[in-house]
Amino acid sequence: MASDAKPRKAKARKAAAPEGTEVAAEASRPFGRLAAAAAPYLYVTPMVLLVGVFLLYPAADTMWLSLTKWNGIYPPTFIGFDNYLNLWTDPVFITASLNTVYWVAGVMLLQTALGLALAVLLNTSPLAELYKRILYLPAAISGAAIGVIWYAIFNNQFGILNASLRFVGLGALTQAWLTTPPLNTFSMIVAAVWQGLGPTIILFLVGLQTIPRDPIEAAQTDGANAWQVFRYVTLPLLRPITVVVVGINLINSFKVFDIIWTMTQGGPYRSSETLAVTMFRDSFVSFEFGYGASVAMVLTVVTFAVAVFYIRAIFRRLEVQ
Amino acid sequence: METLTRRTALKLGGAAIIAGAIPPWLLEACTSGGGTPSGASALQLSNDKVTWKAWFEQEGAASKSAGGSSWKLNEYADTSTYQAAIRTSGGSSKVPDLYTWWSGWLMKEIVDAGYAADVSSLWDKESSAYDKGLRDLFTFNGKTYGAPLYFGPWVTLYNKQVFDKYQLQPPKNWNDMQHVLQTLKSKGVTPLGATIDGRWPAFIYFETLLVATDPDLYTKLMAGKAKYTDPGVVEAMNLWGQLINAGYFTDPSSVTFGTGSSTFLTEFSQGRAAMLQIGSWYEPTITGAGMKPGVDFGGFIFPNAKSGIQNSIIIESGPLVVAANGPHKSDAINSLGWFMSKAGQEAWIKATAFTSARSDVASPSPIDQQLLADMKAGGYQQINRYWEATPHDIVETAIDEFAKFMLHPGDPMPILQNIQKKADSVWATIK
Repeated sequence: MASDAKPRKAKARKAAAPEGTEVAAEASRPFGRLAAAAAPYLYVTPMVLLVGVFLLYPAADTMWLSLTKWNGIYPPTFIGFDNYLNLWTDPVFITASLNTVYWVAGVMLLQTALGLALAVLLNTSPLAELYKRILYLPAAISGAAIGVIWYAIFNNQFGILNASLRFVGLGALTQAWLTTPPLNTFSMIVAAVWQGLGPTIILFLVGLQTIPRDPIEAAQTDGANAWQVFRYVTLPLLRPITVVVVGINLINSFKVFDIIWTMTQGGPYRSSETLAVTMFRDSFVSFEFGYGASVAMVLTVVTFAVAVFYIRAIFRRLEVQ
Repeated sequence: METLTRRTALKLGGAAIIAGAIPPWLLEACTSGGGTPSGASALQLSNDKVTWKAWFEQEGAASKSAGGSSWKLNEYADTSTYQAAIRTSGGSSKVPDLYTWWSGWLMKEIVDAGYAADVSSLWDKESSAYDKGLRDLFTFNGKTYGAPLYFGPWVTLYNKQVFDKYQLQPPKNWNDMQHVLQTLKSKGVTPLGATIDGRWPAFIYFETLLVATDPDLYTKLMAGKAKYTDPGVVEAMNLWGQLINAGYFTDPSSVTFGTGSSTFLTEFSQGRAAMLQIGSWYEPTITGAGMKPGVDFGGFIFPNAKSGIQNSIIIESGPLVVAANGPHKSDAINSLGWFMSKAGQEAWIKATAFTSARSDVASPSPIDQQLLADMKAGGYQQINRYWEATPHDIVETAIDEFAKFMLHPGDPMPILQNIQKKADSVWATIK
């Protein structure tokens, strides 16, 4: 019977172990078997508690809160799915959803494409080490500081960009970069891409430097030009790294907050909010915690669904290959 | 003598580690109540005014010297986080003894929730020194729940040197004001500072122009007895639009004059912008930029845009509140009583250079001295600022709509309809 298996196994271990060894000693102690079985779980417990307390419990609490109306003063009132129903007719939520799509598409496309292009150029550059360090510097700056820097660049009247355009006689090209929707969202995407470019370049460089030379040399021998080698040999071999880069950019662009908050606070008139900013504003500025929680749940579900769909699609493609 | 065994050493060491790990505030809380015979030695004061830290510390020290409790500060850099902290802790014993808040509808929420202690007795004691209109800002259902932490009439601050350069005088009526606006504009000086930075300033010229055209309508609108789509409001908005289209305001998307960065100060001090409609609490900021009040800059009451209406001035006064559930409620009430006294206010004004709400404490600002004299001479009624005067849910929608109007002035009706739609839903829930 199964219940006899463990004591029989312990006896077998003890019988097999040479006398005086640690295993023999351990197996013979009353709590030795229990400790040995529990040890792996004990090592994992602190992290499980951390994740449970700081992730799972708040997530469950947010889910509950999204079904209530709560202003932080009086106890929450259960209202069912009213918050979710109101979301779909809320123009602010619709604008924020659209802005989130712009962010996801913009960061993914711009950061990935630009990162790859720069990595390809740096891969054969003699000054690669220097340029890598320079290009990585923005990644070391906090999102809030990035927002302050780019606010000074994009400010209508005092910003460096408009001042430079006027200086070179291109005053007609000046724009209200941060107060004209959706231009304000695209301007902030530029700031975010500037910050995230460094790590993207590093990852692509790692990928490029691990590509074996043989397929490239074979293609060149067959008469392929540089673009054909890149398109049909290098790019496919870069796929594992590209999956990682796109995945990271996808998740980061869904949850962007600090750059937006420091540059526009989601304004003017809530025109540049993303779902993360709307969630914050509804909860902590308007004190509609239940409504804000419903936005948080929508954002979580969408991010999770997109990530799962993306990963499954990639792995399916890899299996086919 | 007992020998120090391993077990004893472990017990002692463990106790020392635990004691060291306990936060000091918890130790203090466990031992509090045993301060000086007069009560708690230090009262917790929470606030979101980080730039006022030194002032609070000075006032707390003065309170201690006067035989009361000192103030131990708990500051929040972000107003939203601060409001959330007080709202969620107000009903518990974890609430601070004293905290700053806002008057009007924002205060009504915490009063209705039972978070604020009744301090009517303090006002009764000092009734001759404070204006009844000011007390009304903190009074609900016949009881008063806070003391004025600051008192700020809203004033039009102007660059005196620019005015002198173009032979301009502070306007006494709307014709004078138009002359000032046109002259400044023709000389390449932007007359008025305006911004949407920080969101809240977007209401400034709405309230200013509505009070300058129909103060009774403003009061009714704040109480939900008038609509944003009423002709009087539309008229004020159209006036605002005309002034914007005439180029009388700074670019609201570029200029800032918040408590953080302030690009307006540079424009103002260098004479490129001439005036700013703001609370008198902004004067120390301008003084801090190197301009002397009464010499380099002055102030006047924004003139009525229509004749025959009641002289009115917008005032702003935020309360210092005693937490109803605070751990040292009676000591906090005593401390607030001292703060309201002449001695307390003199110490506060010495620290801040604000104007006291007490009529028997002289203002250190020559601008405010003249302002208060003009208010008295002109029989000005005091009207609460928009931010506090109407339910905050309406304000949050309105400031975004006003920002839209400031950036794209045109037909105000769609904007006013949006605000009224929100107002209707909010007033429907308020009994």
